[in-house]
Amino acid sequence: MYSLQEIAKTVGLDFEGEDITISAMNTLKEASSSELSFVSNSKYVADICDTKAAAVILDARLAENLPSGTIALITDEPYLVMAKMSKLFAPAIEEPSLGAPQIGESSVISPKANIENGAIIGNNCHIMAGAYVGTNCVIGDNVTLYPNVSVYRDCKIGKDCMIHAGSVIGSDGFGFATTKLGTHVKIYQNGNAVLEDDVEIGSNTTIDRAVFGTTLIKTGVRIDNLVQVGHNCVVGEYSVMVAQSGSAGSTTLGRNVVLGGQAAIAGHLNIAPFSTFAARSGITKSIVEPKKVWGGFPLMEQKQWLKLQVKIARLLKK
Amino acid sequence: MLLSLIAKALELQFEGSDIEITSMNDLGLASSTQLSFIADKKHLSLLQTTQAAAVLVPNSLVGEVPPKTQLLVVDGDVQLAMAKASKLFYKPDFINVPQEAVIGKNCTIAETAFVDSGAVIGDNVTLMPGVFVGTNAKVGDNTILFPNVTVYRECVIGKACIIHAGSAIGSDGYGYAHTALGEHVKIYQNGNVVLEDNVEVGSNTSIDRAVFNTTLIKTGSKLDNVVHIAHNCEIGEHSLITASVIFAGSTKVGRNFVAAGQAGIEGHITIAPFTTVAAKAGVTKDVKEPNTTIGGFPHMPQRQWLKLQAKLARLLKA
Repeated sequence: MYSLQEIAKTVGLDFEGEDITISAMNTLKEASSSELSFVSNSKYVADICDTKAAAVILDARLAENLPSGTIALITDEPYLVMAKMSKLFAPAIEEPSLGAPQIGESSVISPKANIENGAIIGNNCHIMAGAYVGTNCVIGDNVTLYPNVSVYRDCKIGKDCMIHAGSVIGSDGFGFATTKLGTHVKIYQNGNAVLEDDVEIGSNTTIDRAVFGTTLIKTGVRIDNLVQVGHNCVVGEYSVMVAQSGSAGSTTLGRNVVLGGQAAIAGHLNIAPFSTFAARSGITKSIVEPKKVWGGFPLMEQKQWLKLQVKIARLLKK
Repeated sequence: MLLSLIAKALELQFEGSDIEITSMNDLGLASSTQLSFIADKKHLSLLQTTQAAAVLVPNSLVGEVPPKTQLLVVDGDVQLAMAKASKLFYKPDFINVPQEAVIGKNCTIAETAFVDSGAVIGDNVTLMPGVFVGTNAKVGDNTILFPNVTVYRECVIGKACIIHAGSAIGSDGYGYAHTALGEHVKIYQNGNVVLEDNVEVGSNTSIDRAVFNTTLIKTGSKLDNVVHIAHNCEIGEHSLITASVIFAGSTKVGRNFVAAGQAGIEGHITIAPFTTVAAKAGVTKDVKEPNTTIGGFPHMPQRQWLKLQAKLARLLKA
């Protein structure tokens, strides 16, 4: 919690209007009336007039679109200012002052696992040597964390989940604002990652925490080894992600989406339910029609990709 | 486990004479104490010659089962029945077998490393901080495991091996049966991983345990960082596998195989000895002739791929 005055001062900005208390930062769409937001991507300009945010960091030209009563923090580098301010809201890495972790009945915790204060672990869990469960994490019943799994602070794991060795849940999303000089300023990732029930994750996979809000893996999802899920993604129920596949940030997958090995999805897309992507697909646009099978990069229907390969082979004979 | 009890657990009729079943296996490899299954008609010839004690079969194939093999007739999806049966043979990680771990002479074992019961560690072995060696696993003489390496239960690491930080040896293979509603039912991976002698594995690489039997990395092979080897693969002697290469399940490659960065290898194929795969190649079919270099996706001889690129470049100018 900071007063807007204090926050603005850290980056040398001023604003008109009464000083207020800001609880957190969020996107224009999700922000509540105690939160600070920003506009840096022209894609989101349309969200300005409907925002409930208490204050918005934005370019002077866009300020007139703000709803009345919303405070404008005017800058010609809104993304950079947002990055600098995000640091103020970053929680402590550890909070030893919180209560000892609560461990459910019949749970077996290796003496060489680390459970931080404030964490809650359900019944019948197995937390193996070297596993780490961060501050305020909540782990459901019947969860197995294999050796050296890390669950960063504030993340949640549902019932009946299994996470294999070395996987990381809730590491920082890859978010930086680049200055005019080409240096990169960290956008602190103050959201979390949530796994719903019955999710299985292979070894050395990474699910990044959200910048604001939640990176969400829904019920029954199966994720293989060495998979990357970027910050703020939503992976739909019963989806399948095969080894080394990945999604950049803020992409939403519908239910039962299948990503073959090494397939990759760009950020900020929507993928229709029951879409299947062959191994190595490169997905750069949203998929609207459900139940289709895709392949190739750039993406096309898999049937078409197979035909194309035949034509290319013929080229060689000429 | 008695066959009658397995039938009961799967809610299947059982009328034969009762026998003790030790484990499950593929039709072609099953011994006279093992349970097998046929989920795909293409394995019919294996069914006709199987040595298995008992098989899960659909109604339509009952007549094809050899007389000495007992039947469990599945009215519905055999793969689902097999997945449920696999759970009956699963050994949880916290079994704590009665015998203590055996540690050889002159070993250096970090205080935060953990060696589970029944494990056998050879002479002159170094286990760095955060290393985990599971129940009944074996680590050969002169082997070094760098920090946070996980060796799952029953896996075998040969002599003079080096495994770099964060790698996972023996995490579960990615195998599920699928319900009509699109949910995924775990096929418990009850096999193991064996690394023969002089094998080196880079950091954050994942080698999955076999569903039955063994995922095998043969003598002298060297694996780079973030490589994925799926369940039941067999990598020939002295192979070189560079960063981000991925193998789908049950593929067998001959000796001195070389795969350059980001290559992907399809499952259930066989690759001849001394094959070289160029960077980013996608190998989709058997490679029968030894000593060739292949590239592209789908793969072709590398020379042909280079020619093709020249033609494509010319297309751009046309």
